[in-house]
Formats: sequence, C-alpha cells, structure tokens
Amino acid sequence: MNTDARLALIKVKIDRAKKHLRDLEIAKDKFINSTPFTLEFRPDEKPGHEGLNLWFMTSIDLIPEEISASAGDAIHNTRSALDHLICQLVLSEGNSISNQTAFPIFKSNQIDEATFQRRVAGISQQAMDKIRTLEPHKDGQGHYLWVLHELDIADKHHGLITTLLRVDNMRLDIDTTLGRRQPTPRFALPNFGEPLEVNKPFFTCEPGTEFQSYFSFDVAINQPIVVPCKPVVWSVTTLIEKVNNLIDEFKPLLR
Amino acid sequence: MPFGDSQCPILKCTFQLFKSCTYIMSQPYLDIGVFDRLSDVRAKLKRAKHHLADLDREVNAFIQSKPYLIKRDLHPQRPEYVIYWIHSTRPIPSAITTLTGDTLGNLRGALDNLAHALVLVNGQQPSTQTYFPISDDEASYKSQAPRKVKGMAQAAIDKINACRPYKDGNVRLWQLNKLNNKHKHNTSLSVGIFCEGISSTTFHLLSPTNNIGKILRSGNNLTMFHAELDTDQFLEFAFQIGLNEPTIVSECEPIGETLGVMLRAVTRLVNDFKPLFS
Repeated sequence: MNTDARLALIKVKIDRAKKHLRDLEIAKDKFINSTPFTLEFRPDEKPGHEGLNLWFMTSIDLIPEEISASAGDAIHNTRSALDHLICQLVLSEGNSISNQTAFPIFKSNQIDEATFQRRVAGISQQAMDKIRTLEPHKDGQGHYLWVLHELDIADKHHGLITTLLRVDNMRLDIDTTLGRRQPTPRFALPNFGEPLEVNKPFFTCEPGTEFQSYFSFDVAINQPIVVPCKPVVWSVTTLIEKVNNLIDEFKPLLR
Repeated sequence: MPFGDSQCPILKCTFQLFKSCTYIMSQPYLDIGVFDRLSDVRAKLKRAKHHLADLDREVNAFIQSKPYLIKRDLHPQRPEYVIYWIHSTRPIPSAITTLTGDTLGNLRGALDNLAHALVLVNGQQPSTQTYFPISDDEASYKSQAPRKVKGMAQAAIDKINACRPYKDGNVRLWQLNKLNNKHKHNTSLSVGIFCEGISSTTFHLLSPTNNIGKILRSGNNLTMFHAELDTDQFLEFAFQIGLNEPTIVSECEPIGETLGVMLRAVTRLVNDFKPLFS
C-alpha cells in the first residue's frame, strides 16, 4: 500500500466527521431560526440602574438531541482518525498493530512514558519524536487534542455533550444622521458569553432601546473545564481542521 | 477564542437546572425522573437507528447498481455443464463502512451511558473506569467487570451479570464490542459482497457451490448445472453486503440484519433496566 492509499484510509474518518458537521450546522441553524425562546422584561432594581429594563428569557426550548448527537458523532470520528493514523504508521513500518495501538493523549499535563510506548509501539522513531513535539496533553501545545479526547469520552460515557444557548453577537443601531444624532442609550450585557437560562437577565437597557438592538444566539458546548460555553459548530469545526492538518503533517512518514 | 479559557464552576449546576427546564431557578436540585435519566441512552439508540436506516439505503442502492460481473463458461473437465462465476466486483463505497462504524459507536455508547446512569441513580459518582462491561470470556469478565460497575447498586450489577456479556453468553454484545473496538481504534471494518441465494425457474438441481453464503472474490464459482438448461431467464442471484470479519462474525448475513439484531438486543437490554430507575 502506498502513501496516498494509507492517507485515504485515514481521511475516510475525517470526511465522515465533516459530514456530521454539516448535519450539525443544519440542525443548529434550524433550531436558532425557530426562535426557541420567549422574552419578557422588568424594571432593573440595581442601584444606579433606575429607569432601565432588564430583559430575560421566560422559556427556552429544549435543544434538539440531533445537535448533540451530530456533534458527538463528528468528534468521535475525528478522534478515531488519530487512532487510524497510528495504525497506518505501524503498518508502514511492516509491524503489527495491537489492541493497545492508539494515538496517545494524556489527561494530565505531561506524557506518561509507559503508556506512550504501549500506544505507539511499532511506529518509526521519527514518528514517535514528532508526536512528542505535539505535546498531546492538557495545557500542552496540543491542548486541543486533550479537548477532543475529553469530549469524546464525555459523549460516550457520561451522556451527550452538553449544549446550551448563549448570546453570540449583539448590535445596537444608533441614528447618526446629521442633525438627528441621538445620544447613545444606556445598556449593558450582563452574563455575555455565558449560558442563557430562564429568568437570568442577558440585556439591560433604557426603554425603547430594545427596538434598536439585534441579537444573534448560538448553541454552545458546555463541558465544564474542557470547553466552557463555546459555540458548538465553531468548536467542532476547529477540532476537525486541526486534526486534519495534523494528519497531513504525518504524510511523509506513511509508506 | 482558544480552548482552555478559565472554567466557571457554576456552569455545571446551571446546566442541570437547564436540562430540567420546567423548574424555576429558585427550586433546589430535584430528583430527575426515569425519562431524563435514560434520555441520553435513548438518544444514542435513536442515533444508531438513524445511521442504520441510512446504511440500509446505501446498501440497497449499491446492490441495485449491480456492482458485480457474472460470467458463464463451460466446465473445463465436464463440458456438458456450465459454470457461473464472479468475474469482478466494484469496490464497496466507504459510506457503508463508516455508517456501520457510526451505528456500532452509538450502540456501544448507549450501553456506556446506561452504566453511567446506573451509578448516578445509586447516588454515586461515575469514574473514568465506568463502562458497561463486555469481555471475551467469562473468566475475563469476572476479573474486569468489578471496577467497571463500581458505584452501581447490587441489583444493577446482578442484572448486568445475568446478561452474560461475553462471547459464550450474549454473543451479540460481544460482537458489538469487538467490531466497535476494531473500527474505532485499529483499521476500518472489512465488508464484502456475498451471494445469499440463487433462484431458478425450474426444479432441476443447481448444484450451488459452497461459495454461496461467503464473501465473494473474483474467480469464485457460484453454481453449475447442465448446459441444456442454461437460458438467460433461468437464474436469479441475490447478493448482499456482509461483514468480512470471520473471527468475530462467523456467518455471512446482511450487514443491516447484523446491526439490526444488535440494535434490538441493546434496546431490550436497556428496557430491562428501566425498573431500576423508578
């Protein structure tokens, strides 16, 4: 088997991950476009905020399980692509893979040498050195590998990857026409970037400002410590791209 | 925004409140009912079913495209007989193996999610070792299972033991585990075309070869019969895609059927555990 054939076998997993990513994007957009919440406001009673209104959600639809399921499948295939890379590196050297053969990623902030050797037994020294330089552990250069690994475990063992709604973007339109420029109204975005919850204020503003305000919402992964409230599509896209690029770097070592 | 920004411990608490979003924030954490505890498991099963439906469509489309070339020749030693044989087959689309892998992954994930839920319902915290235990044999199972079921109530452990999740017990669970591990970690699963049957318009004996019901390779004979009976309308071959993993799945069966049986087995198993969550 030549290099391109070996690479193609690995990239099947990446292609599959990208297919799940497309499903995720469609499901997420459909959910967001359905306006899955209801809004109300009440006077802001915080000292210094007199006259302002607090906006909050009174209900939030359950995020469709299809979103978490697609994200989980995409992440699983991406993680699996790394294991297949190691297998092809072993086979490139004419060696046999074992049930320990896998791409080594470590929960702690350093490489455990004994586990590392078991996982990569049979690959070339050059490939081994290359993997070490990646620092595939928490807080290393390859921190994203640790994120991928933890999300895959979370989805497989603990339940679906948690997803919550969050404010992704906010725009306030102010009339700046000559002679009609209005003063910038007072407003604030408490909890911006945090998960949205029922009864938790996300916007406070002068009455009427809500008609000049535009929000875009997003669905977020919210896996504590690993990926705290980051957009799910962005997170999965980033992981797939990084792993895809990593696999390409190993191409010269696949014979 | 790089990964690894500062954590926010309160997020875990707020997520639990969101997940049971019929409750308002002022209420304390409430006991979640059976539906919520198994909702993740059910979601995995639903996802597996979705992938299986896609797989069935891919397999049917591929088979209907007649991805094989069958030739007929006179028998070299007995020219009064004609042999039908496989000249060539087209490569099986990678979508079939990836869909198989996704189905297996979600089925296995459903079992691990169940294990996780069984620990939680017992008021304990799952560990990194919490899995639904499946082993190669009973001895390995007795050795490995205790650390995987740690934290579950004894009734749950007894129920898992009764499943006999090893090769000589519940072979489908064992096959699921082996196939999933192979697809996930090592190399892609091997699949192939097999002939599951031949039908004839006459009652004359067809003498099907013992390549029927096995993964076919170029040059394999399918059947032979007397040349006098040979017409274009005489024979129909039924082909299917099956797993080519003889150390795991010894009999050739349509891949959709193999996975369908596993899906039903896991679904029944999950349903058996429901009383433990009430």
